[in-house]
Amino acid sequence: MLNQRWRMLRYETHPASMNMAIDEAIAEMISFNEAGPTIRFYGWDPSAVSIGNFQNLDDEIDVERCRELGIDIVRRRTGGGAVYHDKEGEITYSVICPEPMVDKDINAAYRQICGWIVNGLKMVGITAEFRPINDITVKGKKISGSAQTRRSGIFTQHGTVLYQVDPDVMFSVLKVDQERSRSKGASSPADLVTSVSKESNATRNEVLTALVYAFAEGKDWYLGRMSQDEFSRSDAIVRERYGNDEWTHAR
Amino acid sequence: MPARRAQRKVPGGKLIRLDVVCEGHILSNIRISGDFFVYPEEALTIIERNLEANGLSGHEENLEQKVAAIVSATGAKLIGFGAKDIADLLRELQC
Repeated sequence: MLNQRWRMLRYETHPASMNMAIDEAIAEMISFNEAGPTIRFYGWDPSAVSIGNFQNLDDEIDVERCRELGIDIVRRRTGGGAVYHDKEGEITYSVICPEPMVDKDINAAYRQICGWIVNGLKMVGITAEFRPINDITVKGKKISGSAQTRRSGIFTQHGTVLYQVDPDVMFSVLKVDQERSRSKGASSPADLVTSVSKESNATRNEVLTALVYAFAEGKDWYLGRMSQDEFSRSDAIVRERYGNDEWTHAR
Repeated sequence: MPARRAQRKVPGGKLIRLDVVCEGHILSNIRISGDFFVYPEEALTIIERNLEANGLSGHEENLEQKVAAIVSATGAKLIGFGAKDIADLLRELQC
């Protein structure tokens, strides 16, 4: 596998459209050899719902409820399911690098990077396990989900770690199939998820630090910043795609 | 013309929904949605268009093979569902 020095970006919060655009801008810059492989941890301000590339917006989200609560909506370029990104209650990560730096097999690459999250959670006393295709669970309940894409030779995987769940908000904006929950033996969708705060006394900062250590383990890395070109390109991608209703309502 | 929907949760995989309009027995306006993955992502729209362009009905013989050939021609990799799931749902819609 290709071995390059990783850039670790400082934790930042952004609106949903900007968060998705930054991932794409960094991937572009890596494909142009203008940036190196990058790991970023980030938050969402305001809180947001992201839906998978192939999901039908109205099937997955109560758009009106999001509007009432001031919650952003963004369609990701990656597949996967709808995710509620609480401003305070979760940590999101992205791993963006040339494809040869990760396993060629899609499922194996999920296992590889989700393994870093499992290791990070272990550092704060949580025993978690990878559940294929793209989830991490604690005692059978989901604590993390991820999605990946590969474009122009660049691999991107992003995902979330739930720190503290507000089930009332989460399940008022996400339309979750009640029957599906019952078929999994849960009385409500909230019973299918857990969070760091339910499983450990670790603070959000401690979890973030543990994840940074776990992601950096065994790698040559440095703490870096985004370039002005990356920010400018991110702004353009917001206008072109993620801040654009046509993209958001594509399905 | 009646719009129809069928969906399934693939065991060990993802949720897939099919929305179609039935023009007689012919399937049109095919939309495939769900929480699955397709690589490259753009291939899903091509698969939808090619399913329509082939004028498939839910009563076709060898429907699964025909759908598999359309998917295969795009070079797409489907994760969390397969051509068989698309074919089964097309049949279930009973256009």
